[in-house]
Amino acid sequence: MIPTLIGLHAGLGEIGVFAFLWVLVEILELTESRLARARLAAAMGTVSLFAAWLTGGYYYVSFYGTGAKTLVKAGPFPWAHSIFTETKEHVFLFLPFLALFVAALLYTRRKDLLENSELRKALIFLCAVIILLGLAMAGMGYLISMAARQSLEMKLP
Amino acid sequence: MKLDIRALSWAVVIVIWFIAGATIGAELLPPLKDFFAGLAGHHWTGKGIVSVGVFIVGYMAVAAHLNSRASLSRAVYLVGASAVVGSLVILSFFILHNYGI
Repeated sequence: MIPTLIGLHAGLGEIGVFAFLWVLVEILELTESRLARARLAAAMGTVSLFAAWLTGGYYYVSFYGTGAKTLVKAGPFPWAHSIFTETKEHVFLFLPFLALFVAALLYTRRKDLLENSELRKALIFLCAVIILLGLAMAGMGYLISMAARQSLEMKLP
Repeated sequence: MKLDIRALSWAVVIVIWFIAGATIGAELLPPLKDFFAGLAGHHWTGKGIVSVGVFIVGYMAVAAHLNSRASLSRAVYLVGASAVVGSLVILSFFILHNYGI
């Protein structure tokens, strides 16, 4: 159950990141057909990030506190929990709202997006923020897993 | 009902700063953490549920009162900048909190 939940959370998060990378690429030289693809990618990314929220949240609330958290806090890198888990669990909450906003903008502002290069630049910036925050989530997840693994290795004979 | 994208941008900015404020506030004020935990059994779940509520109410309140023709590009930049600064504020807080500063 736990590896499945973590795998789903990470996989859905990565799909979300790649979907917004796809959106960013389509916006670089926006046309009608590229806008249609960007809308599809943004919808897919938004659904993925909301699903990553649900799966990660279920794991965090049901299993993390009695499992990995105890290991990390008793291991050689307790800061992985007190800095990075704490940051990850809260900063992650930004992502579904940011994704929803980008998708809404793509679906409601066709004319503005095709004619206004400043708006496209701003949207490229926002997609880059989503991608970088998503990658930061993955990096923090790695640090937390590494800290739990190091703690386990200390216990081995 | 037509979606007001400027109001939506403000709702995202509001929810980002609500999450940052609630995160730091709940660490510094245990009763606030208990309040969030009391809503759904875990403080993080409580914050998530309240965040969705803040987002919806924030959108409706801004949409009802905002009559802005301000640049949409600026609104998008403000959303992105809020996410970056809000993330750095949360990360900095937990670094300082970890080292007891």
